[in-house]
Amino acid sequence: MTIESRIRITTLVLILYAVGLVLVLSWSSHQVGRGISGIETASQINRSAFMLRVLMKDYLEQGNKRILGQWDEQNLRLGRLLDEGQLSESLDTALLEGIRQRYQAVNHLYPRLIEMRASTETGDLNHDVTATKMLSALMFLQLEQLVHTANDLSMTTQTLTLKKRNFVGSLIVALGILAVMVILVNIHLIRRSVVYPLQMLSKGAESVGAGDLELVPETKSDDEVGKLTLAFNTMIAGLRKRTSDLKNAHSELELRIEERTAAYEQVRTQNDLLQAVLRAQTQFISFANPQELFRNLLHDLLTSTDSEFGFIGEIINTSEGEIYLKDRAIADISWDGESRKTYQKFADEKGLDFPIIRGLWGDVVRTGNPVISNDPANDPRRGGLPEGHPPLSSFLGLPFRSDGEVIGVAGIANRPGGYTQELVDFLQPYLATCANIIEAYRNENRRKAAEAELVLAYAQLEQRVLDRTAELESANERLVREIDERKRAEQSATTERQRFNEVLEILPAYVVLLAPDYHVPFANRFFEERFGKSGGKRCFEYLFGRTEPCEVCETYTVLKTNAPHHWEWTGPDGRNYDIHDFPFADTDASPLIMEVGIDITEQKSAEAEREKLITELETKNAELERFIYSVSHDLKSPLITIMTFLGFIEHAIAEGHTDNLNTDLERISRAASKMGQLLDEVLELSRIGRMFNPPTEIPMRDLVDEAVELVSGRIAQRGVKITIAPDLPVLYGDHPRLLDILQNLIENAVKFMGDQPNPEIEIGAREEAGETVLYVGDNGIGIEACYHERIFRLFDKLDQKTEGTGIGLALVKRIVEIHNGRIWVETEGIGKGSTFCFTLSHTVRVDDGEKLT
Amino acid sequence: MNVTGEPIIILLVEDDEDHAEIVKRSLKNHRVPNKIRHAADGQAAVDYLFRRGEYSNPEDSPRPHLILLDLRLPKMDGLEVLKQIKQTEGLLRIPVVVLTSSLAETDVARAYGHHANSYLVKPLNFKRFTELMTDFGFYWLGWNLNPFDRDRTDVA
Repeated sequence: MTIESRIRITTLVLILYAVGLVLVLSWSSHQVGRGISGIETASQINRSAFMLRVLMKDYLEQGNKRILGQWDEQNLRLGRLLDEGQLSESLDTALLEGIRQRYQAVNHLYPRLIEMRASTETGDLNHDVTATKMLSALMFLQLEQLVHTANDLSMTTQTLTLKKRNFVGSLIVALGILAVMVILVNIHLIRRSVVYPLQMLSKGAESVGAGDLELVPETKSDDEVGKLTLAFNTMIAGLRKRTSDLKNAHSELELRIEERTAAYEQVRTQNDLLQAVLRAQTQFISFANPQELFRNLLHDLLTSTDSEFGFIGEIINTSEGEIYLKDRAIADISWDGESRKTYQKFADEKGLDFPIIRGLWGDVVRTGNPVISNDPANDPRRGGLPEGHPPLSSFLGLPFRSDGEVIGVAGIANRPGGYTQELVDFLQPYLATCANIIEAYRNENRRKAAEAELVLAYAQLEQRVLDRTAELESANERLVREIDERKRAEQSATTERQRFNEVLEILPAYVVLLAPDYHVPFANRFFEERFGKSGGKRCFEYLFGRTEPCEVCETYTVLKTNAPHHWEWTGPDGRNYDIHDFPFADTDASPLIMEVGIDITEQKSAEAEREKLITELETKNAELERFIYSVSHDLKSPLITIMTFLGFIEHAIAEGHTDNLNTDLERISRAASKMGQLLDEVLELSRIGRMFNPPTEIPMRDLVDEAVELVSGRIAQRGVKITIAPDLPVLYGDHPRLLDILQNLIENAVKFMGDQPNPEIEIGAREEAGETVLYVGDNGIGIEACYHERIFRLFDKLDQKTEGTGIGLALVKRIVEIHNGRIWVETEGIGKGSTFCFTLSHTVRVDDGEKLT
Repeated sequence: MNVTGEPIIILLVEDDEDHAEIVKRSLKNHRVPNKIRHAADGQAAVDYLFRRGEYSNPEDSPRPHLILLDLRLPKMDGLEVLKQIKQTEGLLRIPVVVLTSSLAETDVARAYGHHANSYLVKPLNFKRFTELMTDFGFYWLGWNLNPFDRDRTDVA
């Protein structure tokens, strides 16, 4: 809560308090004023009552009628006062009511008393003196009580007013005390929320002024002082951050100065090195002694790398493939006596050759990379030191490269603290300079050698011109001879070409050349005979009359693969060609395709024929196997029955039980006749395999009529309605067999009518996918989808109880297949009938007489 | 015989009425008490085993302890029946003995391929047929421990 709102609330409380005080004071003064007027009225009533008693006493004692006038006046006054008192709220109503009753009682008694008194005075004896006295006494008693009650009223009113006055007094005192307390509390609150936090803040400001940034004054409230404290804290935090930023900036600055100093050092060293490089180049340009030049380079290298001693060499590749290291400079180091001699020997112009390159040096030469070894004694690459070589504590090998080839090396050793990659990087310009110098040096040498060679060559050339002139003369003679020979050879080539053309022309295959733009630059006679001349047209245009290349053509893949391609092609003449395509270059080397096509139509059809025969044979074999299996199984079953029941009978007779004899004999007889039937049918089936009758044309309608006639007995017995479609085709095949098909299918349909109340059979033909489908449909029991294949199997019956051996549909299938047809059943399931459909594909003629193929 | 003395129940699946009669007669007076339930085709056999249709009451169609199965059956052939038995968790432990007239190697191979427990060929000779059934009774109903005979003691 903010201080401003606190002050507002406080002011509001004070105003409310003052208003309340004024209200209370006015209310209490009103109350006291009313009490005082009440006292006045009560004392007047009291006085009037007292006067009435005095007047009555005087009248009764003196009998003065004048007193009665005073009484009436006083009595009237008391009645008025009582009416007034009734309106006043500060008088006790109970007491006032009591006074009023007495007053009425007195006024009731008064006329009687006056009358009684008057009669007594006139001497009327009828009136009892005693009664008068009693009435007077009663009057007195009433008056006495009236006075007493009026006195009570006066007293009570006074006491009540006094009480009210006291209460108002104490109320004023209490309100005064409360006002003082409210003011005190307010002062305390303002002190606590304003003065104390301000003191804290001023303390904080003092300590910040003294440099202490760690002090953080507490903020508890969210009032103005709280916000002030918060702002103060934010300010201190800002100060703290700014101070630490300054510190950081200072240390960063110091670091940068250090870096700058180090960079300066590096630049200075680099400058030294560049100066050395410049010096070396200047010396080289001024044709200084190479020995001198490399010595200076080595000196600079040693100085700039703080190395103790070193070496610069050039790589010499001998013609034998060996690699030599030729010393160009060597630091004067303290070797032993022998090596000192060697060093002296080296000091002349020729330098010193090291024939074997191995160890750390070798690594530099082989890899072409710098080699750093800060512990050469234990380095796995080391190759050992020569006799008298000063000890190595660190080693740096540097290659000089030109065009990727190592043409020289520098080796420096014993730098305090060893060598680093940074140092190697730093030395790059130096290395490049050394390489340039060696390369330039080499070039210089080569130029000198070339000049000498040129002089020699010139002399040789003169000699050669002389030789060549002589040679030319003899060559001319030879040429004349060769031209003669060439002419003869050309003659024979023409003959050869003619012969080759002959071969191409009479070849029983076509040969064409095809250009990438699909034109046909050459075609042999075979090709032109088959497909005509191209006449400048593109191959697809004149072969197939197309406007764009054929999708199926594989010829042009040769252009992509540049390899021979072998495929088969069907030409516009409908014949099959075995195609060989070869990449071929024309005389001007432009790409062509040579295509050779061999007519394989006959070969292919023979092949297809053979495959068809094989498939047929396989089908027949499988069928035969199935047939043998079924026959063996189904013929065996009745045999088992016969044999076993014969055994039972034998046994029974031996034991004398003859109860089952008759039924057993019946079983045997049934089995035997079933076996006979099976054998007959098997024979029939095998006979179908060899079509006895030559095929003839039979109108299907005639066949249907014949078949219906054969089954008419059963049809009539079951009451089947037969519907035969009009426009049935003419069939072509073995007449009795085709009749077998229809007879069997119709018989079957009648047999499996179930309990159909309106049995119907429909026989017809329909065109479907280019073939004629013949069908026999019924509305009988139908066949479940899972049995659609099984029903055509030999001796396979779905219901063992039905008559027949299960050969019917197998037989039908066999006949249909012999006529190259297919047979299947269409049914919507149990109870929805079934339709047997079959085709006799290539032997069916439609009724307009045109043969279908 | 199991320990409770109740007869062993055999489901005979055979379409040939005469052959079924032969089996029934051969096992009728066998020393091992047995009860034969006859299914005349593959569909009936499967309906019996799965308690469908007329076989839905377990009282009338108790689970067999052994199945004698012919292969060449109408409607659903024996191999299909065998396949369904051996693919059903509640049935696959019932021993299935194939009893058929087929000597074809492919039939033998396919029967064992579908987990038949034994393959018997119906002999042509009466004596041998009755011998086979007697031996079958001793082996399959006597000696052989059936997965349902947990409490059998007479074998040990």
